[in-house]
Amino acid sequence: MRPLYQFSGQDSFLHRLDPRTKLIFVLCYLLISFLVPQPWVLFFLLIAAIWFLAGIPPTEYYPFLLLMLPIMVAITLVHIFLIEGPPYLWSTHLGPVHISASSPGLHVGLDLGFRLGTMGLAFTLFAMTTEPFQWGMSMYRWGLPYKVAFMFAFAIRLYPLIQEEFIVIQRALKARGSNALSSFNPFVFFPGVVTSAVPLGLGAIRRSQDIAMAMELRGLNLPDELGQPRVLFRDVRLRTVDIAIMCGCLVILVALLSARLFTNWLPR
Amino acid sequence: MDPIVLDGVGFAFPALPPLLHDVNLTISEGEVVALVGPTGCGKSTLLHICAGVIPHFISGDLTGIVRVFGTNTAETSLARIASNIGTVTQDPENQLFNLIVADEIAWGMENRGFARPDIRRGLDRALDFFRIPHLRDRITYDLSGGEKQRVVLAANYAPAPKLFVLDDPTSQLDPIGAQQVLSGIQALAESGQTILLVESKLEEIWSLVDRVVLLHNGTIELDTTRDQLDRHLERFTAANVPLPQLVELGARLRRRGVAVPALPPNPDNAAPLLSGIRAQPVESERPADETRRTRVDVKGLSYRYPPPRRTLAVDGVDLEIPAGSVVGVVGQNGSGKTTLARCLSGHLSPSAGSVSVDGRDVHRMSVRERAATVGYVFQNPDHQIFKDPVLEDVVFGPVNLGATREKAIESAERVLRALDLWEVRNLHPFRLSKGGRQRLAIAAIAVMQPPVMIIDEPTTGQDLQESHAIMTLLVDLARDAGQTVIVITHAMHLVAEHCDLMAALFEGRLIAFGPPEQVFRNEELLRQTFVKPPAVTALGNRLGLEPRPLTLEDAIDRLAGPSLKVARG
Repeated sequence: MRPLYQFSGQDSFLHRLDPRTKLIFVLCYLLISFLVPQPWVLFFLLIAAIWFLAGIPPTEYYPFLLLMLPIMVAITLVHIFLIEGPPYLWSTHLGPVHISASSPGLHVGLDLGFRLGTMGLAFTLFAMTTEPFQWGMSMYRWGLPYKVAFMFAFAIRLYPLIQEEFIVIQRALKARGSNALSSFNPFVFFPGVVTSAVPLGLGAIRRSQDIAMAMELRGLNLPDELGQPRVLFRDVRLRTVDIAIMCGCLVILVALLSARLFTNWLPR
Repeated sequence: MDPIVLDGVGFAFPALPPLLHDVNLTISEGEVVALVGPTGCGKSTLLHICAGVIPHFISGDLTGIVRVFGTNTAETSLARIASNIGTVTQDPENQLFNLIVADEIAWGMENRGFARPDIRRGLDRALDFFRIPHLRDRITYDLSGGEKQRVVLAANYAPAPKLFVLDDPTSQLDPIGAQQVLSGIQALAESGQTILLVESKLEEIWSLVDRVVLLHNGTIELDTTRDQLDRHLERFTAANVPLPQLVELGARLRRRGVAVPALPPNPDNAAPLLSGIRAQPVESERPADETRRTRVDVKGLSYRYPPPRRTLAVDGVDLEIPAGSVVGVVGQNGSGKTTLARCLSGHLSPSAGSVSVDGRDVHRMSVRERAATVGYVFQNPDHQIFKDPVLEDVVFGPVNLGATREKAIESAERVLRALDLWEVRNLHPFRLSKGGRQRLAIAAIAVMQPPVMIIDEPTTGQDLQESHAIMTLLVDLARDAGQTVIVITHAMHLVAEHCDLMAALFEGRLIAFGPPEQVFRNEELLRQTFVKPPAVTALGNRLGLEPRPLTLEDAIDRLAGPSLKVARG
């Protein structure tokens, strides 16, 4: 089981791609999911891509899939009941109010649900196959100041630590007889969140001070101080395959967009 | 030029009385100097002063002159001072900023503007020096504690600093991790590096230090060579700083009129020096109470982590723990101690087997019932502070269990008085010392009066006096309230002195269970889980003392006690 953002650390085709390539791919994929009439195909295609091109089976990130499921179901249900038929799957009258579940609503709801799921999955693909520091450094190459890029990547490095701390705090609350963080009752859950925020927040403040000191001691500010350029040991460069994939994504996106706008091949 | 010269240095944090005064210290090139002293005496503060962190990063009133390689630190920026120093602190998690080990080690060199081929050479050199080339492409958060701290050492070593400042780098590691880090420090010392080191395990660093500096009452009370330490026993005792057990044993035996030479800290080396002394056997002071009924009954307990870990962390453990006993659970990290404890407390549901307390299965209880039956004190007290002030934090648990506020306050008063926290009941918990917060965490669970209390590493980061105080409190709780106390710990001297029983785990299996006096006899068996008996017990094993001494006092009694007939053989 993997937390929501955790680099998987494998070596695969997707892992080796430049973060910028994956970012372009993800953006194009999201737009394409709104252009094609069968977004569920893109959803399962993405699961297959993560499995076969990155070597990560769905069992590794099923909590994320489970998290998306109620949202996808909710969107579908809303559309089933809001969009009028015919044909109707089911209907009834509650006094003057007509309640119905329509077949067109089911289709629209499923389409939207899968589009949303595809967006989430695309983010998962990026997160599991992109080392945050590589991402940060590629942003630095595209002009982001070094410290901003480094801190951005470092925040993601901290995420698993904070998550571990949260799990310990959740258990510590249970040890004191409070099950608030596992409650589905918002009046119990949210006060529990506030209670757990005390140790989590204070721990984070203390940790951030120690980290800032340690960074300073390892020379974070030395290049600025000496006025010398910063050296990057691991150079982040776009390879031919990266450029080819970027171009491919853009070509497909433009082609589908044109087909949608100027032809009847794709339904509007 | 001397790496460090402190001339009349004093320091006070804002609005607080002076912590340090009149500190004079010179460290020459190639020296390895250990800085020792009781908790809160200012050891880390002095290291911060030497590393330039004070006054540049931490503010306060710094007086006197601090020179690092001839440069007055007050007149130079922290970045420039730090470029000559490798600094390692206690928690490796706060010193790893990159995701991949190679990037972490290269980062300091990147900041110093090394050319890329030099970074590559520095990286290889550091990986080889600390014998971690296999970690090069690993993710830093997947490493063990010992591996992480060795990566931190390597990252500091790679830019070739001229001085190392190490602040208790093994204090948060298990025995195997500490051993890995200490071997790295040993390699640094042997390569002629200048090292200023705070290390609570003086026994472990004995062989590599040239000088020992005792910081007490805000200043340097003693600055002596390693071999002269046993001549200053009173000063160390007064400062509550333990000497290596066998070094102290030798000193105290001589004071009792036994003619023994200065003893080295290693029992293998000390035993031949004492082989001429014969001690009469004495009766065990802690006979096992066979009549106590079983409180915790563990049957065939196994736990396998879900994918992708899939590790079998606990493997078929059977245990019967009597009521009113204090049990130490020992073993290296990853041996299954914490997983076992979490299964016992119901925080994890076992893959197989059962845990019952007074005949009731803990995994069939509700959260409230479990909290009232098995109390669990986590390792970091800061993760368990939920309310302000201290009194409210202690009351929080009983109120959750349904007690009235009046009743909860009544119980809280009793526990806070017992744990010496009643006077600070109106303070914010974070204003207490680490030891105070640890006692508060114990109070917050003890107030619920669970029949079983599990405490994970209750003495981490505490000095000897505080560690014994906490363990004594736990033993008193077990005795007075008939509670069963289970302590997870790496501190074997505390297990030896305070526990009735100990359980040793290795790769999830229970490899030994019984009174410490019996379990510590089998050093060969314990070695596989990196558990070493206290030095005096190991010495007793080599000398064949019956029963085995568990504490320094036991060993002195065996070898020089007035009731014993000491004969020269």
